[in-house]
Amino acid sequence: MLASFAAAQLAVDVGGPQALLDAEWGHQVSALPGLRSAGGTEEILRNVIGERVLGLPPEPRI
Amino acid sequence: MRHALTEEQTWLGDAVAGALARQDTLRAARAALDGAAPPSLWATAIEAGWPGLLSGEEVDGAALGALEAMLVVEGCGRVLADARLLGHLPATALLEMAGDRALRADLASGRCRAALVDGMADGRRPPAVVARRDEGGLRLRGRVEWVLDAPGAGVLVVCGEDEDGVPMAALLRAESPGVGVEARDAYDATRSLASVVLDDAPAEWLALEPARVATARHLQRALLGAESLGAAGACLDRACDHARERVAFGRAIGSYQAIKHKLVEMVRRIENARSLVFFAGWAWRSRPEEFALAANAVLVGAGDALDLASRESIFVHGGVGATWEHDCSLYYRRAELSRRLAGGADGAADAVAEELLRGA
Repeated sequence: MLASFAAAQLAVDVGGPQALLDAEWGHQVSALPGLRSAGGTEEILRNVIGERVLGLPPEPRI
Repeated sequence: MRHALTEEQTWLGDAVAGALARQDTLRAARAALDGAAPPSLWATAIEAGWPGLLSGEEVDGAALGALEAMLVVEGCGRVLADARLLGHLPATALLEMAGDRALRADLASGRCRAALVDGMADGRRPPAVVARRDEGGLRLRGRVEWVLDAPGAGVLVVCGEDEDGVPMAALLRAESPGVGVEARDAYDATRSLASVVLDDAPAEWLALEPARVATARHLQRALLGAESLGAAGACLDRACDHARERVAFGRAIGSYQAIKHKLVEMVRRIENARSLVFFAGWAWRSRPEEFALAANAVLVGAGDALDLASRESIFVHGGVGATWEHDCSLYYRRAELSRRLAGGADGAADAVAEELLRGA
C-alpha cells in the first residue's frame, strides 16, 4: 500500500495538477485511501506482525 | 527463483556469528570511542577465510559470490565488527577479473590486505582520480576522501578515468612514491577511514573492460548495505527484548500499539532490504547486467532500515537509550556515518534511478 501511495504521488508530482484529473494516476490518488482502510487493514496487519512475528504482548482485549 | 538460504549459506552465517562471539566487539567499539585503538579483526578474518571469499580456488580462495560476502558482512554488522572487508573484498573482486598475478594468492590468504580507492566519476561529479601515461608508465593523480580501510592496507586498487574519460583501474602498493594515506578520525570509531592522495604515483594498469570497473563500487555499496542490514537487525532485536520486559502503566510497553507499530515498521524495512540482498546475490551470479541496479538498491533499502532502526531503538528504550553506557548510541553512530560513505544514500539512489532509466 505504501508503495502504491508513493508511486501515485510521484506520478502526480511529475505530471503536475493536470495529472490529478488524469484517468490513470489521478484515479489512483482518489482510490487508494479507501482501499487502505478496507478493514483497517494496515493497522491490524501491524498488530498481527508485532504479536505473531515479534512475539510482543497483545493489547488487552475486552 | 527461491529466496531462501541454502544449507551452506546458513552454516556460513552461523560460522560468522561463532567467529565473532569470541571477540567482544561492542565493548571494543565503546572503548574506541574513548580513544582506545580498536583491536584488529584481521586475524579473525584470516582464520575464518574471509579475505579469500571472492578469490578463485586456484589461489586457495573460496570462489564464492556476492551473496556469501554479504552474509559475512551482515554478521559483522550485527555486532559492529569491522573486519576491513568493505575495502578488501571489492578490491579482490576487481583483481580476480584482471588476469592472473601472484598478488591474488596473497590477498586471498590475507597475508596482504587491500583497499578499494573509488575515484570514478559519480553522477554530476567529475572523477577524483585521473590516470595518464608517460615514458615511465602509468601515473595516477587525485584525491579521494573517506576511503574505507585504507589505513594499514598494503595494496590499493584505484578506480578512476584516463585522460580520454574512459574508466580504468590500477594497482599500487601503499608505500609507493606519490601515495599519501592520511588516516581520519571518524564519528563511528569502529571504522578505519583515510584521505588518499595520489601525486603522479606510478601504478600498474589492470586489464579490465571499462564497463566492468564500476563493479567494485557496486559491490562495495552492496556490502555496506548488507552490513547495515545486520546492524538494523540487532537494533530491532534489542528494542523488542526491551519492549517485552519494560513495564509502564501496568503492562509491558510492547503491548502498546504505538511501540508495536514502530517495531513492525523496522521489520518491514529490514525484510525489504533482505529481499534486495537476495536480488543482488542472484544478479551477481546469474544476471550481471542487473547487478548495478541491485547492489545500489541494497544500499538504499538497508540504509533506510538502519536509519530508522537505530533511531527508533533509542526511543523504544526511553531516556536510557540515549545515554553513553547504552549500546544504542554505538549503533546510532554506525548509522549516521554509514549513510554518508561510499557515495552515500543519495549516490546509491541516483545510481538506482540511472539504471532504471537506462533500462526503460
